[in-house]
Amino acid sequence: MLPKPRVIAIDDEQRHLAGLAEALNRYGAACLPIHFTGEPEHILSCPCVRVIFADLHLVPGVSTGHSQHFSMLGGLIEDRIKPIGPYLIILWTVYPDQANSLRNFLEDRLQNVTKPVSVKPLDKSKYLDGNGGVKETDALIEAVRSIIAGQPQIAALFNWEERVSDASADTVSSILELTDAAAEDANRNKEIGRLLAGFAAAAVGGEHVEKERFRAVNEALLPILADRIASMRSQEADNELWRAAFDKSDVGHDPSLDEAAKLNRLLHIEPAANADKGGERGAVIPLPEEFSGDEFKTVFGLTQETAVHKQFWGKDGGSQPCWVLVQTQAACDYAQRQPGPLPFHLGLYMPERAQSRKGKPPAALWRSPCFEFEDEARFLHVSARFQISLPNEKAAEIKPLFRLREQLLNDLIYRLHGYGARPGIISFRKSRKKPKKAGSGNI
Amino acid sequence: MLQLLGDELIGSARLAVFELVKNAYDADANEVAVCLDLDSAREPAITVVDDGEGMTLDVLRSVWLVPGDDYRQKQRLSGRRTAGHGRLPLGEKGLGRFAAHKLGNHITLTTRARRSDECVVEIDWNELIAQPYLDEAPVTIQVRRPETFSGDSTGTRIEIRQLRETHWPRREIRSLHNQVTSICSPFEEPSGFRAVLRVPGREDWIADLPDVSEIVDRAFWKFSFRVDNGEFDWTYEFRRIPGFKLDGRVVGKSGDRLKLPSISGDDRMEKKVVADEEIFKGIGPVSGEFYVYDRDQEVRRRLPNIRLLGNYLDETGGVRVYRDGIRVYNYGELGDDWLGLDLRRVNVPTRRISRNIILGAVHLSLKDSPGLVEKTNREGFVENDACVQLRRIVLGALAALEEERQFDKERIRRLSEKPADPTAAKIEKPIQDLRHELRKQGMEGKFEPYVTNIEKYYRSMQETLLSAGMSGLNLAVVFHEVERGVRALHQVITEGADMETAARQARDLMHLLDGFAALLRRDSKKQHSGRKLVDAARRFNTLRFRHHRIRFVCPLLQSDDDGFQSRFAFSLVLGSLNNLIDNALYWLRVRWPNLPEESESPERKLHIGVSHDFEAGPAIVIADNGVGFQGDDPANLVRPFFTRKPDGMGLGLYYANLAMELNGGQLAFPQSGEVDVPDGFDGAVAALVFKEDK
Repeated sequence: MLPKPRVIAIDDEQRHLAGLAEALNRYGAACLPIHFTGEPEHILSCPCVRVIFADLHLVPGVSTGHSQHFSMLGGLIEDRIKPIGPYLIILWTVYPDQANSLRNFLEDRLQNVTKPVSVKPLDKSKYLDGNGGVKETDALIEAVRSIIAGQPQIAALFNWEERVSDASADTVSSILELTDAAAEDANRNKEIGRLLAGFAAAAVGGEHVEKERFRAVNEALLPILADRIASMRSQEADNELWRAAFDKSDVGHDPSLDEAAKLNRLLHIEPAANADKGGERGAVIPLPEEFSGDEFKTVFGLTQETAVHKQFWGKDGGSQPCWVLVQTQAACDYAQRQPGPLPFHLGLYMPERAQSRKGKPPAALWRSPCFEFEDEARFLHVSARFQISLPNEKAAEIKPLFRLREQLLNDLIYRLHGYGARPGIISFRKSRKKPKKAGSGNI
Repeated sequence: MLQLLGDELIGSARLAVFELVKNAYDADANEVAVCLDLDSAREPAITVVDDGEGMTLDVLRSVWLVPGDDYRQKQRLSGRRTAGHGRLPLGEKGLGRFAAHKLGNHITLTTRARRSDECVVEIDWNELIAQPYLDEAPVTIQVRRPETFSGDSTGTRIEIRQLRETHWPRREIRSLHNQVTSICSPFEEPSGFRAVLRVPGREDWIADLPDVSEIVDRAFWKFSFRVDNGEFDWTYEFRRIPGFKLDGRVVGKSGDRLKLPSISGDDRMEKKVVADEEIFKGIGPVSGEFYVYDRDQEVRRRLPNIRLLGNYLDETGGVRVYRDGIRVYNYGELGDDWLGLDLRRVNVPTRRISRNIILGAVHLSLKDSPGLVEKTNREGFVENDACVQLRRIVLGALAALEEERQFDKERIRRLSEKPADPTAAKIEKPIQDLRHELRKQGMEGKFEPYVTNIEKYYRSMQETLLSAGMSGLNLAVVFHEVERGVRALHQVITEGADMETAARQARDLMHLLDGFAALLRRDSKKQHSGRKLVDAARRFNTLRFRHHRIRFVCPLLQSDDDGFQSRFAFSLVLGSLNNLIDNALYWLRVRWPNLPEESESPERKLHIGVSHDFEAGPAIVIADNGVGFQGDDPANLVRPFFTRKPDGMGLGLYYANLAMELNGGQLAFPQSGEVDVPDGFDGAVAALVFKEDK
């Protein structure tokens, strides 16, 4: 329940560990020191870890080969720490020249967890005195600072993450400010509870809160957090870091199709693993069998070939069409879990080569930017004209392919509704036909 | 420019003489005589005369006088052998003739080919380099009726005057003699080729130089080997040592596996731990002989004439390389430690063989070793993959010798050494000497953290042993070895070793001591279950099991059983278990060198189980289907510095045993049938036996 540590230090030598942890704390990084005794249960999972300071020789021994020790560290990472995000390993050792070999070892052999972005050495023998204590803490702090500064891109991302984390802390503080700080603990806690309930009810309606309390509160706090994140500005102290993170010349760099597809996937596509129900708003599910094959024409009123070619701007004779349905429910209905069948729009996703090049796409068609899916750059075309509904229970049984994230989904829904809502007016126009030339005779 | 070429391409005057001798070999000569006439009454001159095929006017003009001509290289590549001895040429870049200019400014070359007139070329280097263009250089060829090579004789005579080096001290002459005579392998002479050196008027300077055959007769160990496509045939001979009541011993094996040492230190680089066909690509078959001596004080004391032998070994010790019987320089020269023998000795001085106790020759076939390309400056092979693998092969063979030799060394030690008190050993003097040398070389800063810690750990270990009454731990050998290691480090630094490598060795020495110091610090013992220990070992070795495709069999972890309870220092015993797993992984890779496909069922298997069959207490049994202990006595297995791994230190099992003893248990090696091990685990079986928790 308490925040998970972002910086951990592991060493089997208590003095080495204490010295390093103290230096890190003075540096301003909250460090979790782990005195390694070989007992796995002493090390808890730290999925959000960003920097691991690790001694190379965690178990006493005399072997000068290193793979035993690499394996130990790898086992610790894979089996205990289980990082899920980017992280840096700083090898705190008298064998600084092993950093590269460790990196290669982990790159080759780690599975099921993220691999370290980089492995950098920090030579113990330079900073520890004969008794295992830190000789000069300032020198050690400077060495750590210099290692981090040597990775400006990673440092910049970590900085952004920290600022966002500050923004969420600020959101929480602002809520607490609404309560009476002078009140007794018990009273204040009660008040906070009432406030959260109020937020939840305001967001999804009182009768829907119980369906999913977290989600209800989250809906309410999201705009506050979003505003704080959006209003984050450069801080003088971090300017240098951001200047070093990328070159001016990188700014004008046009990404290739594959690069763009990867970036768009990051921005707009949530993998299926995280979007596990077809009833989720924005879920993209395969077209159920009862609407496919011969039934396609019965349901949608035209053959698949015609639909591909005329309505979805696909190429004739292209690869097998991949029909999907996109859940396009109104945000408030979804938040409040309003009853009724869920609305879906028919879509077709295809690789770039399967897109038509002829004429203009139909006005009812929404086209996504390219995004990477199944190792290929693809596009999703959704037509406002082809809409069907599914009962919630049925949709929930279907495993989605992926989910469109909020920004892209909003763009799609705006287009669908804009198309549906465009007014048609009755009007007369001047004929464009040229009048017949008059004859010479009188009528 | 030309002068520069001569200077740059040929490293030393001695190498220049060698190049001229190689020319004679290429010319199919039976003998080449080098005469260094330094008599002050005459003008000093170097003369090289061979009885080879000589050169016709045409060859002289179009080949010998054209620098960088690839005549010999073409001959070699096309596999064209000489008519008389069937030799492939050694020269390949047409640089041999620069050798003459390296030695002196005035050259007279007289040559005669079969059924030809004699040709005489006079070259004055000073006149030559005064010309802006080489084609304007004045070179006169005189064709005459044979005078030097009369009758049917053929050959080439090169006389060099206006020597660049006129002062040849005794030491240099002796070195040159050793070099000229070592041009051909003393063990595998190329048919009919002999090189001799004469120094008129100074014969006494080389008269007392020992003959190689006398020296090799005095070696205590002889090791011969041949390895080709992974098949390793070897013979090891331990000869009787005067003054020691020890029988000689001869062992050998055909079709053995050649275990390769790691060179890079990065496990990924060396995917295979035994040599297979691929390793020999571009190298061909490798054979050799190693003659090894013992210069330990106790042995030296009992041998006659040891000084002469010592001087000879100091100057000529090392491992040389011969291709088709002709020396490849600079391997095995003084100052060239191409195998890193001296540095690798720092951590295990007793077992490892340094350059000053070995005379070795490695033989290659010119035809089969196209991957080994000699450098233009004649200082070894170009550092390519084949060259790296050659090193591993030779070090692997040397390790096989060291593996056998350790048994006889132990026998000698038992007869010669007095029981040592570990707390009496002194590190002060070796450390002081080392520091002094480091200060002299301005390397104090780089090494100081290691030296300080070596000294500190050494002392603290002695103190612990004294205060805790643990002198019975048999650590004397370790203390002694560390002391010798510091001295060896001092020596290699004095001799100008690569500082980075030396620093790594110092650090490893420190780590070794740190390992033992940690052992003696004795972590607090707590009650733990056997299951917890095995589970930790599995978790921390998963990456290796997966990578090496090891099938890990552990019924204990599939049950709810705790195995047993005992009080022990967890990390110490985990370290011991890791050592046993480490060994198992290595020997599994030796027996099953090819990594099985992912889809296949792994051939490499490791079993860890719990046994209650030991009287002393419960045990964790580690069994594999590797090569097993090869009949080694359990007492040897836990003896410090005993190993059969080519680059092992021989401390893994010793350490594991010590750790178990300090926890009230022991390391045991049960025979098959003594403990329950599933079928198919026919390799090594070891057991960590714990003190019963009552």
